[in-house]
Amino acid sequence: MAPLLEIKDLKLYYPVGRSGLLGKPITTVKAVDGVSFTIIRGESMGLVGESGSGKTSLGRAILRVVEPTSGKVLLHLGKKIIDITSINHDNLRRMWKHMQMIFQDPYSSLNPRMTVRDIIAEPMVANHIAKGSDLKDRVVDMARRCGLDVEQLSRYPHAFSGGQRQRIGIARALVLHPDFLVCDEPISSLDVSIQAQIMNLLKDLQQQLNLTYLFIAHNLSVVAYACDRVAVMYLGQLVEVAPTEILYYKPKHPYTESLMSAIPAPDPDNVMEPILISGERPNPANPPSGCRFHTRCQYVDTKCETQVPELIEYDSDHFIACHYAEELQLKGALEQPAAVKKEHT
Amino acid sequence: MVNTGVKVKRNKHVRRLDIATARQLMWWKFKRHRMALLGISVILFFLLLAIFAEFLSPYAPYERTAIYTSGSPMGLNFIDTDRKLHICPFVYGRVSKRDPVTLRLKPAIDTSQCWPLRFFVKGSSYKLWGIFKLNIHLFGAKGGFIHIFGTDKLGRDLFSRCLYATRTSLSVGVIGIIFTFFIGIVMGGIAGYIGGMVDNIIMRIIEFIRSIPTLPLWLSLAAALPREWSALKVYFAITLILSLVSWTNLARRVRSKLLALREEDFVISARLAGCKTARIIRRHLLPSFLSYIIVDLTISFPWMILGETSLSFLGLGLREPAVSWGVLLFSAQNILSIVHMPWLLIPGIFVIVSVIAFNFVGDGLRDAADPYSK
Repeated sequence: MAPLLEIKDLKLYYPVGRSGLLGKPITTVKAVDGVSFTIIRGESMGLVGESGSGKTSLGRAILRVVEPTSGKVLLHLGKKIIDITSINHDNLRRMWKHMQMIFQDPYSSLNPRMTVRDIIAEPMVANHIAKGSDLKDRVVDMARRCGLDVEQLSRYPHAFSGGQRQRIGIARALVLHPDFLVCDEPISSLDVSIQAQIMNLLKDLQQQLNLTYLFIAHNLSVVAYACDRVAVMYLGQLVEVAPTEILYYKPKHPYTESLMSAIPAPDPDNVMEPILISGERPNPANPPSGCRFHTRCQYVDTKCETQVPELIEYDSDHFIACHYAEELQLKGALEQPAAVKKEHT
Repeated sequence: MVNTGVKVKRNKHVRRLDIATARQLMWWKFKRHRMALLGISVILFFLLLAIFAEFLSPYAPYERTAIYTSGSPMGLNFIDTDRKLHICPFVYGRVSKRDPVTLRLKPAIDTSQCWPLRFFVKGSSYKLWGIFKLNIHLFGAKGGFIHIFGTDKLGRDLFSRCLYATRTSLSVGVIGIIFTFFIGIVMGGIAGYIGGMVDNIIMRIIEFIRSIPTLPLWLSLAAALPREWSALKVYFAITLILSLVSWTNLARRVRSKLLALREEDFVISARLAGCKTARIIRRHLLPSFLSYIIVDLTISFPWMILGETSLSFLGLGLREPAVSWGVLLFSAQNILSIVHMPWLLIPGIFVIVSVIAFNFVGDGLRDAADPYSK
C-alpha cells in the first residue's frame, strides 16, 4: 500500500471579474477548496460528482497544468518524494514524464495539423528521449498496444472516429511510460459500444504498464466497473472517500446516498425512486456556511448550518465529511423499498 | 453511357480525404469556388502585367508623342476602307487638324495611312528589373505610333502608364501588407500571450486608433510628409502610413486566436508532453491560425490599394513622377477632362477589377479555411 500521490489541502480559486481597469478581482470561485487524499500506487481512484463540482479542476491542479492557489501535491518516486507544487517550471516539465492526462473531448485534444505519428511521437521528441528508427519503433509499439492500425499512422486526426481519436490520445499519454494518469472523463463523449472498448483498453494497459489512474467521471456505473476506490466531490470539497463496494452499497454521506439512488437498475420492472435533492447547486463563488450540502440535505440539523464537518476516517479506509455519519442509516445503490417490489410481482 | 464515362473519369483521381493534409483540404475546397478561381487568375494576370511592364508596354511612361496629345484610344482594325482584309491588324494614321470652330489643334484619323501592328519591335531601351538592358517591346506600330488606351494631355501613352501604375499600386499593397502582417502579429502576439497589463494597454491603443476616422487620419499623416521628399521616400512613407492604420484588425484577430487556443486541450497536452513555450507556439499554435491570417490579409489587400488610390487621387499620396492608379486618376478629376478625355478613367477599371478579384479570392479562402463549411 505504498502511496504514489499525497494531496494535502489543495485549493484552486479562480478570480472572477475586476473592479475597474486594473483593480483586484471582485470575488473568487472556489473550484477546489481544501482537498486532501492519497492515491495508492497501482490503484484506480475514481472521482465523481455533479457538473461544476470541481472534478476537472482538481485533476488539473494535481498535475499543476493549472496553478493551484495553495496546498501540496507530493509525488513518491521510489524513495524520493517530490513536491509538485513547489518545483520550478523546468523541473515540472521533467515531472510530467511521470504524470500524464487523457482528455474528455477527443476532438479538441489532438492537434489537427499533425499526423497521428507526430502526435504520438511529440512527447519523446520534446523531451529528447528517442530519435530516428528508435522513435519510430516506440511509436509503432505504443500505437499497437492501444489498438491503432499501424498503417494509418500517417493520417491526420480528422480521418478518425471519436473512439480511435481517444486511442490516439491514450497512446500519446502513455508513450513516455508514466506512473500516473489522470483520465478526465475519457469516455463520456463516446458511443456506448465504444465506451466499453476504451474502458477495457484502459484496464489492460493498467496491468501491462503498472499504471495508477485518477478516473474522473460522472457515470457511476463506469466508475463502479473501473475503480478500486472512489472519492465523491461536492462544491469543491470531498464528502466521502471509500472502497468502491462500500461506497456504493453502504454510503455514509447523504449526498452519496442520493447519487447512488439515481443509478438505474438493469431490470425493466424496476421502478426508480431516486432521492431527489431539492434546490439548485449553490454558487461556488459564495458557498453556504457550515456543511456545504446543508441547503439540500434531507437530514439537515442546526449544527450543519454552522459547523464545518471535517473529512474523518470512520472505518478503515472510509472517509466521511458529515456530522451524523455514524447515526444515519442510508440506502446504497440498487436498494429498493420492499413495498414497491411487491406491487410489481 | 455518358454517365458511366464521367464516373470512370472521376474514379481515376480519387481524393483520399482520410490522408489529406489540412492544406490539401483547403485547396480542394478553394477549387470549388469558381469566382475565387477567376479572381486568382485575374490577380495572376495583373501580377504578370506588373512584372513585365517594361516589355509589355510599347512606350516608356514619360515618353511623349508630341503630335498626339489628348489623343483618343486607337482601335485595331482588320478591314481597311477599301474593304481589304489584313491578316495583321493595323491602326489608322493620325494627323493634327485645326478645329474649324475652336481653332484648336486636334488629332484626327487619317484613313489613307495604315500602320500595321508588329510584335517584338525595337523601341526605347530599358532595364528589365534593373538587370537586363533591352529595347524589345511586345508590340508597336510600323511607321507610326500606337496608343490603344489613348494619351494624356502631354501625349504620354496611357496603356504603358497603366502597366507601370499596376506595378506601383500592387507593390504598395504587398509591402503594406507585409508591414501590417509584421506589426499585427507581433502586437497581437504580445497582447495574447503575455496578457494582463500589456494586453490591456495594447488593446486600448488599438481602440484609440480605430476610433479615428480613417480618411482624415491618412490625410493628416500624409500631409505631414515633407514636400521635398523623393518619390521613392514618399512611396515607402505612404505604405507605412497605410499599414500603421490597418494593423489593428489583424492584431485583434491574432490576440483572440491565441487566447482561445491557449486553453485548447491539445495545447495543454503539448505542455504535458514537455514542449517549451517556443515549440508550443511554433508547432501547435501558429499552424492552426495561419490560414485565418492569410485570409484576413487577402481581404484587407484591396483596402490597401484603395487607400493608396484615394490618397493619391486627393493629391496627398504619391505624386508625379511616380505612376500609380491613384496618380493617373488624379488627372481625371475635373469634369472638363472627363467630358473631353473619358479614356483617362481607364485606370479606374484596373482598380475596380483588382479590388473585386481580391475580394473573391478572400471569400474563397475564407470558405476554404472554415472547417465547418461543406
